Amino acid sequence: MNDINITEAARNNAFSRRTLLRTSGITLTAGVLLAACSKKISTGSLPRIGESPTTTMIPEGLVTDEVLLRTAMSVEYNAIDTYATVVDAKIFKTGTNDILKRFSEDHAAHAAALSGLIKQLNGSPYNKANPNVTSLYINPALELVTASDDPVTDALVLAHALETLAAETYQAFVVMLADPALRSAAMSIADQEARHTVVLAQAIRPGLAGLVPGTNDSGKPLVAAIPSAFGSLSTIPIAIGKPNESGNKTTLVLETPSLNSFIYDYID
Amino acid sequence: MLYGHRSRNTTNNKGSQVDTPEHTAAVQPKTSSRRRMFTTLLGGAAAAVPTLASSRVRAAGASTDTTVPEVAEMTTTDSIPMMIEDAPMMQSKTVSAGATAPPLQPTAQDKETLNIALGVELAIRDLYADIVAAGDLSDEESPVILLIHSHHVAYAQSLGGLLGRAAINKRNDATYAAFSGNLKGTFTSIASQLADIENGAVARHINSLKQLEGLNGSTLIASIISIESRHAAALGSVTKKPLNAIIENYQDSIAIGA
Repeated sequence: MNDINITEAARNNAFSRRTLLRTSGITLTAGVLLAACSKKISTGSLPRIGESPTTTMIPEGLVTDEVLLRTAMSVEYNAIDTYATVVDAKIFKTGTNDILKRFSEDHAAHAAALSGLIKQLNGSPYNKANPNVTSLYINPALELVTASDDPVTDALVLAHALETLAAETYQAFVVMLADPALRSAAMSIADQEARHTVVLAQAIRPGLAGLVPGTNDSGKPLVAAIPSAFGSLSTIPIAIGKPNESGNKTTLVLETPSLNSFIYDYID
Repeated sequence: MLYGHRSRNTTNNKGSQVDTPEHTAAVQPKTSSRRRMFTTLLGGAAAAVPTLASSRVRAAGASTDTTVPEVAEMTTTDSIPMMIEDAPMMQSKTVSAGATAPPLQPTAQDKETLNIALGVELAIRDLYADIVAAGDLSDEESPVILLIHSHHVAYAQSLGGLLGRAAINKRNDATYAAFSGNLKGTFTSIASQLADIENGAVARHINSLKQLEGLNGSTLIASIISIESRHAAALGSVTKKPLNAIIENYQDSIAIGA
């Protein structure tokens, strides 16, 4: 057995623990300082496995008077398109089609008035229906109406809801519009939308009893021409379509356009 | 097994090495040096972390090296007393697009405009009250008139509440006098007159919106317009007016110059 002098061996060792710790410490500190002083950290330089699609940031959307008017214009086109579909579907046999055509003309006049206001703001009018309103509310509702066992009533309910949505949209925009003159213009359009709701409410529930709020036998609220004391901004639930096994129709809940469905100025 | 720099190790009878107390005392200055080094390392790393983190935020939040734009206007609800002690503090952000935000409360000019609206609503309230008091309504007609009367009471109360001490709780006598003599006869004729009154009130309020600066007043008037339009159309529909007369408002604004 060799007699090893441990102490001597330790002294002669170039890689002592002290040296190791000192070296690693200096290296680590220098690395941290260099990283902290760097101006830009490129996340793209990180090693990655597989394909990474580039992300395109959506433009920043500012809610301006122009955007609000473009959004209102899109809702007018929602109504125009819906009425055209309902009339083409020949759901109504009576003069209701004429009323819907008249309402459609009113909406076209509203859209034209809004177009003029948008141009005054140096904006671009939006001559199309609101895509989110179409996809979320109108398309599903039209499918239910066409499949319904009572398409006449359901089409009237849908039209009433759409007019309510339009009136609520203008009322909701009053607090967001910066120009008082535009608030007044918006409510002058809402005035007529509200009158449309009354005509449709009377078609669904005619007579004096249909003017005041009421409930059916199961306690559900009925359509009323004068539903409340103040204009509501709440959601608009409608029950349409073919009843299920329990006798209940499908309920859709419509809402006025908000941040995710505004027609921002970058939308063509 | 080597123990590095330790020069004085002892071997026990089992061949393993242990540190003796005297040895520990002897190497005290050396271990304190190592502690200093660790302390320095940790301190340097801790100081570098915030700088490193901020540079990462900049890199992640902006596609270029430009500074992240500051929020134009930020308000917090710090001053709002919390209902529950130690509840988490909620924060809200208000971003303005550069324009001056309109006031919430009515301005001095708004108060004049809203007082005219209040006077009109009080006059309409009294007109409906007169019809109810006359007692000529049927069981079907009465709920409609009572409902609309209650709405005008609510409008007057809301306008009065918004105006506070500035409210002039006096009906617009010109409006009252202009219509009170005509509210007689059959329900159809009365409803037709009431539809005109409602149309006039709607026109009045729509004009008011052009002048109102404060948002609270504007939103209240807008919510009143939404229903008074329905009043007018509903009263027009029960009197079998043609569609145009129901959905169009040809009535002049009432109480102009009041």
